[in-house]
Amino acid sequence: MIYRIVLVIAMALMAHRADANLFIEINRGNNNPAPIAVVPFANANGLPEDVQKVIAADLERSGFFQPIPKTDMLSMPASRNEVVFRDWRMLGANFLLIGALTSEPGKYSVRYELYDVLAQKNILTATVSGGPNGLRDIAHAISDAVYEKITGIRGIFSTKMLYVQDMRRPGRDRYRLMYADVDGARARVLQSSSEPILSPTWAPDGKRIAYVSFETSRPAIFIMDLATGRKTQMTNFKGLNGAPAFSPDGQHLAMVLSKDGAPDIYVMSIATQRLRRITNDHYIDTEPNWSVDGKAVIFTSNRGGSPQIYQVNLNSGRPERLTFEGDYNARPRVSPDGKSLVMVHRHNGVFHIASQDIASGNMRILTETWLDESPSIAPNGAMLLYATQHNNKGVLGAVSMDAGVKFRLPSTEGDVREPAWSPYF
Amino acid sequence: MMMRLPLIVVPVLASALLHGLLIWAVIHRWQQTPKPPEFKQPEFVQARLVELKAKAPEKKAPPKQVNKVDLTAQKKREAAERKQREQEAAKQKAIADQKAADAKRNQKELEQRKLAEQKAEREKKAAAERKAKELERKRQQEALEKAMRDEERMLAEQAEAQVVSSYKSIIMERIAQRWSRPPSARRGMMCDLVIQLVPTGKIITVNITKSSGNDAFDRSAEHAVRAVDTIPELKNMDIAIFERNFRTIHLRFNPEDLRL
Repeated sequence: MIYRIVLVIAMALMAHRADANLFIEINRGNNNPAPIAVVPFANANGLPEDVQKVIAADLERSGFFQPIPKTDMLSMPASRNEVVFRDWRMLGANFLLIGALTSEPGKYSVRYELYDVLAQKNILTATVSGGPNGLRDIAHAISDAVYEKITGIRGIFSTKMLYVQDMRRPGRDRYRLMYADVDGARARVLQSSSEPILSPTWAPDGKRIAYVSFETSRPAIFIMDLATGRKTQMTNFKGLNGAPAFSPDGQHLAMVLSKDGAPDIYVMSIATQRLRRITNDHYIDTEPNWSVDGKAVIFTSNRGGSPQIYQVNLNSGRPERLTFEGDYNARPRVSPDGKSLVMVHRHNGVFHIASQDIASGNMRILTETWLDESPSIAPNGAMLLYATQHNNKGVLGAVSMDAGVKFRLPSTEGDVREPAWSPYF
Repeated sequence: MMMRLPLIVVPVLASALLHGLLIWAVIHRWQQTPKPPEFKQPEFVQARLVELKAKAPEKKAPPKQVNKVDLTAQKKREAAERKQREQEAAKQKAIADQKAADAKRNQKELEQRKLAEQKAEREKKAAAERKAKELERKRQQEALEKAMRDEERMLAEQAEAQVVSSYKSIIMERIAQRWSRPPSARRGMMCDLVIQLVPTGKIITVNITKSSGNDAFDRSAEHAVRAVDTIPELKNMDIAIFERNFRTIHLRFNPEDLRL
């Protein structure tokens, strides 16, 4: 009996103690980048690419990481037993990436290890290999893995982009359709022409692209197979042939044609080239894009008096207006999670990129420059590319979807516009 | 016969008178001592009275032998008898007087005892009252002291609560400063941690007790705490307050400032 009483009292005391424990709720924080030390990999000197530099730059551009300068590092460990966590902690590093490279004939391999410095533990160890020209691919693959491990979001450093470059000089290669890493490196020309090239876009498999070219003296939509470079002309209608967009299943192209009068939205079956008319009115309907499930097409129309964004259900054919804020909303793109819409939004006479939460209708301006156009969302939904003006030149900019990170891609010759971010490969 | 009669009658009468007196005295006394209602121990008084009654009848026997007197030596005997009677009477009277005095004394004693007992009773009552008053006073005193202690404790607790609250906001601020959320963090995610500290303010253990379901988010919370490492302000805290409140702290990371 006494034991029971003692037990009850003890339990009551313990319960009291548990209640007495202080409870603190942390309901705010910062979006400061996480300091990371990317140590040059062992045996990586004298290679054609500086792998450490590529990784550090990738991570920094993501906005979530702040690489620690090489020159601050006290040691350059290549394996766990060489790591002194205290030193890295003193440097302020939250994470540490080390590794070693091995080169065999025609092949490079990197074994890398990622450490959580504060918890003093390994959180990722892997090996990645590449061909003789694959050092940048190896670097981007490591960046992707590190980014995904630490942020919980799939990395996009190995993805590509298309854009149009205008050399601003007459000639056979005035207009170029470009293909490049998303950091702007390894750009190569897919197509050049003395006539404008417009609206490059990716097929969801990342193997084909579509674009509009004036090379046949009037605008026509082409599909190009990236592996072979083979082009297929999809349209040759009189009037406007523009703004192609692959359906999520890759079987159809949405496009704008004015063959029947005012520009209207059509959907073409790629295999049969059969057309289906989606809108039929005397207003301008343009810039189609697909909903994530492929059941609806989103487009810009001036049917309400000013350019606004509408969505039409392909089964019912019933259009629905999506944007109501401001007198100019155009060039819609749906985020990969289908929850938000990015667009060109005019605010006080200046064009910005804005995002709108589809469910709530809340709009948010993401960019602060002007004449911003052609937003294209990364496949992880974390960032978008857009075209803007800088020093009277067309350049590409990137902004995170929460507007926390913004940067410009390195400037190249001429004007750069109409970026298109690839899907995952 | 007629002449002799008075001679016999006198002692008989005297004897009867005395007896009557005695009986009267006894009865009267008996009746005169009713149970005092205030007495708490009436048995005691009764026992004494019974004793007195038993003594009285015993003394009746000797005077009855006077009846057997010889008539021939009458005068002498008469004188002697008278003398004897007188003596006897005096003796009886003395006895009676003695008895009366005894009875009186007894009564007086009884009364005195009664008084004493009443006095004792009163004193007892007074004592009890005093004691009750004392107890009451003591109780009030204790209540007052308890109220004061409670007040003091409440004030101390309030003071402690204030101290705890201010250190709590310091801790919250320091952790929030170091909490850098991954891009996958969303409003509504929640991660619970339990941390343990030592009086220097150093955080010695960090444990995730409830995951948000997002490893990156959980890690960011753990990192915030580990990056803080030490809350130097805690060093200045009263050790008892530290032990009661800051040895173990429950943390909940619940971002309300995120846009998405």
